[in-house]
Parts: sequence; C-alpha cells; structure tokens
Amino acid sequence: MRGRQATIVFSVILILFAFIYLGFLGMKEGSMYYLEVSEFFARLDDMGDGKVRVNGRIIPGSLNYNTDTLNLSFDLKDKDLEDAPKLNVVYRGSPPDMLEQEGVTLVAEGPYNREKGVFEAKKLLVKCPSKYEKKGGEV
Amino acid sequence: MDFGRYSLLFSLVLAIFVAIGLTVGIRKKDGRFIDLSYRGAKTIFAFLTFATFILIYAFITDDFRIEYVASYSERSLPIFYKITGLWAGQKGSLLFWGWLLSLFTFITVKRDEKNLNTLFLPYVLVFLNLTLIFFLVLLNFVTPPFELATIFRSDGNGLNPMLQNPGMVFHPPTLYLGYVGFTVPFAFAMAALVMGDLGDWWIKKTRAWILFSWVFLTLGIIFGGWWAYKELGWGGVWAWDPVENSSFMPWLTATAFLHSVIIQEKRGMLKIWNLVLILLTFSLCIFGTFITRSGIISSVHAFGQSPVGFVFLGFLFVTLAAGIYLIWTRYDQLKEKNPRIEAFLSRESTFLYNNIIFVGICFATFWGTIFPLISEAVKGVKISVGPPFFNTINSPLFLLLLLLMGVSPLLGWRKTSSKGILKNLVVPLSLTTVSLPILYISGIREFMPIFFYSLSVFVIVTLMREFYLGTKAGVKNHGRGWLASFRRLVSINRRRYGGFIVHIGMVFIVLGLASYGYYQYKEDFGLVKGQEVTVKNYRLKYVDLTNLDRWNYESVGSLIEVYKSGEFKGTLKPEKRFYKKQEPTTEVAIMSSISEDLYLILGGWNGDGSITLTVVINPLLSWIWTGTGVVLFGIVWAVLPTRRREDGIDVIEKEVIMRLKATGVE
Repeated sequence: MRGRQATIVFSVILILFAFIYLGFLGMKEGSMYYLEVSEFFARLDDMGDGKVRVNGRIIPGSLNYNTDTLNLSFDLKDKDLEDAPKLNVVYRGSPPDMLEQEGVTLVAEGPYNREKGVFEAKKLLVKCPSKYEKKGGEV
Repeated sequence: MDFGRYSLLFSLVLAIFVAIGLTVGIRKKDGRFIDLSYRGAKTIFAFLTFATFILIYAFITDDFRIEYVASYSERSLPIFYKITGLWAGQKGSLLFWGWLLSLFTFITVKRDEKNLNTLFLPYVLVFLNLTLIFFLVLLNFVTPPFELATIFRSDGNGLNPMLQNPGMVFHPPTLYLGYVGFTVPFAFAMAALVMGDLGDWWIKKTRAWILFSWVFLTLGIIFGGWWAYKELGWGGVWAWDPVENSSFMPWLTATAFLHSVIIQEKRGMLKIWNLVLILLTFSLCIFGTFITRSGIISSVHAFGQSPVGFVFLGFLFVTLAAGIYLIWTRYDQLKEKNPRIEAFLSRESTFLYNNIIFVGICFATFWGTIFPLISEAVKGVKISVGPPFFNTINSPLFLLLLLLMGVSPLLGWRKTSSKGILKNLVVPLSLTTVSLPILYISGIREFMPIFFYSLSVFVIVTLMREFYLGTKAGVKNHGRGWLASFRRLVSINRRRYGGFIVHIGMVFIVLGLASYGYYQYKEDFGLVKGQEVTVKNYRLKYVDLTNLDRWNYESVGSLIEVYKSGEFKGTLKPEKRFYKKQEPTTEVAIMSSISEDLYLILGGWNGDGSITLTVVINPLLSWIWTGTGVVLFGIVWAVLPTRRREDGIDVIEKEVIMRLKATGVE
C-alpha cells in the first residue's frame, strides 16, 4: 500500500506544481496596472509598453465619433481633479451606452502609443456608480 | 409600514429569546426550554413573512413614503416588476434573505421536532438562529427596509431598465436560495462538531438541502449569465468580473463537497475535509456578499457602496474563527479510523482529484479576484487581473475535470485491475480517436479547443456506455425488454443515473462556454439604408430605422433582414431604448439556433439614417441553456424518491452485481 500512497501523493504534488506554473503564466498575461489618469502619467516612464487600464472621466465636449470609420476619440481625466492632465483615447467600434452621462467613469484598456501620445484602447468599460442604487445627486 | 418595522424588531427580540432558551435548555437538559425555542423559531418565520408581505404590498400600492419603494419603483412600472422590487436593492434583498432563512429554519425544525431521537436539532437551531440574528440586526439597525423617505415624492425613481428583464428577476432569488440553503448543511456540520458526533448522519440529513442549494446556486449563476448576455450588450455570458467570481467560488467548493460527501458515505473517508468544505462554502457565500456590497474591488457591476459590506466581513471572520476552532478541537476524534485510499486508480481517487481541482479553481479565482487589493496594500498600486489570467489557469483545470468525469465511471471502488480498466477504455477511447479527424476537418485545430471537444466526446461516450451496459445487464439477467430494463435501471438507482445526467448537462455547458470563448466572431459595420454585408455565412441587409413610443420608454430600432446561406431567416431589430427618467440602454437582437447565435448590437445612428452595427456570432452558445435544463432534470431525477424494490435486492448491492456481470471488473 505504501507505494500506491506515494503515487497518489506524487501525482497531487505534480498537479500542484502545474497549477503554480499556470498561475504565474496567467498572472503575466492577465494582470495589468489599474490607474487613474494622473497616476498613469506619473508612472509613464517606468512602465512597459504592455496593456494598462486607465480609469477616468470623459471631458465634456471632447467626444468625437466618426460613423464611417467607426473611430471614437475622447479625452479622459481624473474624476475629482479639476486641472488634471488629460489623456487622449482612441477606440474603434461602437461607443458603449451612457458614455457621457454625468457621474459616469470609464475604464479604458489597451496599450499607450508613445510616439503619437495616444492611448489606443482595445476595450472600454463604462462604470456607473449608481447602477443598482439611487439615481441623481444623492450619494 | 409601522407593522413592518415592529415585526422586524419583534423577530429580533424573539430570536434572542430563542438563543437564550436553547442555551438554558441544552445546559440543563430541559425539554421545556427547547420546545419553547422551537415555537419561537417558528413564530419568527410568521413575523418575517408578515414583514415581507408588507413590503411587497407597499410596492404594489405605490407607497412612496418608504424610501426603498421610492428608490426602486414608479407608478407606471408593470405589477410584475413591482413585486420583484423586493430584491431590486440591498435593503429588500436582505429582508428576502432573512425571510428565506427563517423559512428554512422553520422547515428544519418542523421536520424533526416530533422525532424523539433528535438530539441534534437544538444544536442545529443554535447555528441557524445565530445567523438569523445577524440578519435581523442588519434589518433593524443597518439597512432598515421600512425607513421613511426624507422628502415627499409623488412618484418613485423607477426601476433601472437593465433590471427589467426576466433574467434579472430570477437571478437574485435563485442565487439567494442557494446561498441561504447552504446555511442549513453548515448548521448541521457545526452541530455535529459541537456534539462530537461525527458520523455521516449530518450528511444524510442534509443531502436534500445540499442538492437543493447547489441547484439554485447553479441556476442563479446561469441566470446571471443569461441576463448579462441579453442585457449588457457585449456579446458574452461570463467575464471573470469580481461580482461574477464571488458567486462562482461558493459554487466550486459546493460542487467539491457534493462529490466528497459520497466518499464519506460509501467509504467513511474525508470527514475533516467535508467539514472544511462546507465551512468554506458558507464563508464564501458571505465573502461574496461582502465583495459585492462593499464595492471594495472595482467591478463593472457596481452596486451601491455601503458599510453593510464590512458588517458581512465581520460576520465572515466570526464564522471562520468559530468553524476553525471547532474543527481544531475535534481534530483527533476525526482523524481516527480514517481508511486510506487503496489504489492510485480507483473511483475514490478520482473523487479526490476532483476535489483538489475544484478547490484549485476556487483558489485561483479567489487569488485573481482579491489580487488588486493585495497589490494595493503591498505595493501601493492597483493591479487589475483580467480574464486571460482566469482562462490560462482554469481552462486546463476544467479539462482535467472533464477527463475525470469520463474516467471515473470506468473505475470501480477500492481497486480496479489494469486489465479491467483497459477493457473499459476500448470503446470510449476509440470513439474519441475517431472524433479527432472530424474535429480537424470542421476547423477545430488549436491545442486547447481540440482537448475540450474530444474530451467532451469521451465523457458523453463513457456515460452513454454506462446506461447501455446497465440496461443490457437487466435484459440478460432478468429477461426484461430493453425499454423496461432501461426504465428500471434509471428509476431504481436514481442517484447514480441522475448524477450521470447532470454530468451530461455539464458537458453541454462546458461545450457552449468553450465554443464561444474560443470561436466568437465580432465585427463592426457602418451601414446606410439598403446596404448589405456578408458576415461568415450570413448576409445582413439593413432595411430601415424605426422610432417607437411605448408606455414607459421610447426606442430607436434598426430593421435588419437576415439571410443564412442564401435563405431568408427573419428580421432582427436591435434597439436603443430611452426609458423615462433613466439612461439609454442597448437592446440586442439575437437569432439563436443549435449551431450558433447571431447577436446584433445597434451601436448608434445619424441624421441621414446610417447606423453602426456590431455583429457577433457565438457558436454553440445556446448549449449552455440546454445544458442547464439537462442539469436541472438530472438533479430532480436524482432526488425523486425511489420506488419500492420488488426483488428486495439492495441498491448498492445491485450496482455491484451489475458491474461484476457487465464489465468483469474486480
């Protein structure tokens, strides 16, 4: 029986190692910085060219959507800061719902193109703080 | 209104009396106190039912003096959605939760109070009652559902249009039924620990509860995916979002538990493990509530943020500490007489691997979910963990689960000879091999998908083989007809064959998920009226843009004619809806078939009538819903009472005989 127990223990350890390896692989592929716009600029120099998530608010009036080329472009800034740096974001595809609603923040995911100084979003996630709760000015 | 508030307060007072009554009763071994506690627990159910009715009544009668009603309803809302307003927000959800818990407590007490041998019931009630006290404290002092509005309103804010969908109506209550349901087996497990009576009585007693809760948790998760698919308009059902994960984690440990209790029942093994699993499951239900309600981890499904989350966190710590302490103190007792697994390849070893993998998936999901918190605390920067992490680590684990699902029925309990295994493998393996070139020709050529599809074939074949061999054995040994033998087989051993049916449903769900995950097709188009586009084997013609004015919303819709392989299939109408008082929402149009879903999203439109259309094609996605139906059927089949056996042969014995004759194993 001892040998069989050992086989079971051994296979369990093997599974465990494979599991840890996959975990590392996944973390490398799946994890990315999640930053506010100002944090993004602060860390720009020591960041690689991989994908990042940037959270911010669309500056009213900066939204531009070309229905022929499906190119969407807008400026993003921190939601609370008034004179904050702005990040120009471009995206190809239909704009999500509620993009310009008051109080809505947006998470743009993608790489930053350093030459053009443009954030090339591959994914846009709209976050509505009031989605399942009260509407309007109340907190 | 006041009645509602008072019945909540009275329930709490009563629950405290029940707690005192139980303590005194158990200490002094006095049946009178225990009896009173039973009565108290049943009365709480009556009061909470009353309170719940009052809230529903307030919704139906548009009583906007109540803050909660004003926040989630409006006069023009259909009555169906008014009633479901009960669980549209946090306060109502918690009331609903408390009510369910009191109902389950009522049923638990009712089932065993007259049974004179029930030493365990007072202990079980202690834990159920403590959980109930927690909810009643919340309902009375933290999130009072009957709180009055501070300002006068002639009409309410209305229900978020995204929640006005059948998927969202069923998603919360099914999920809550699952969450609350696990409180009962948890209470039994803790009672077993306190009493020091660690046989499998608590597992036998709670088997129905476990299956009940598991099936509702499953349905809750699936309804959530269904709702996201129809309502969120991004073309998928699952995105590894923290809120989704938080319902998935207890499901994983619950599924592990579901399997490992079978080992304890049949072989008396894994006693500690089972206690740990039920403790984990219950804790993860609470943890999930903490994540979704505290808003601590950024999610696209942002619920209103409130301190309730942290109250749940406190409750979680208390639960875990108590559970771990109890297991710790009884550890020696549990360790004794634990038989060992005898063979590397046996049915119980596959159950063991199954458990390791389920817990592994749960751990990975947990890690990915809370990693942003860890990185922020340790490195001071938020790092978000996206779907690639979860997919990379969990996909191979799901493949292993598929493999186990296929291999397990081929192995016997205890030991199986290699010859027997090989003999059993011949048919499934050869059919799986045959499937490989077919998969290759049909365009499935990547590494992971090939595994998913071929292993699915393997599992289906082994399961079918089980049904076939069992039926054949009946025909041979009893001279019955094939149909009669099959019916007898599945109705006498409901648990076994119900389980197999559940596995078949699971394979369907996995196929649906894998297919859309690996082979989803998505493209955006800008179209003018009359323009046609070709997407894969579809031809889409944009005919017209229409405006609609409905009773509580206006909408802009585009009419799209769909042709598949040259044949007219129908007209789809993706819309944007503008609900009064609410943001615009996307209403997708779906044409569903067995092979694939055509999913259209109206992105936007211009004054000249041109539109942006997103076309998504999801292969086999409808299999997820079909599979869920099969799973549900399998569970119902498994729990239906077994008919009286005519020949007096015990079910397990019969299974053994059948296996011996059919496969020559052992």
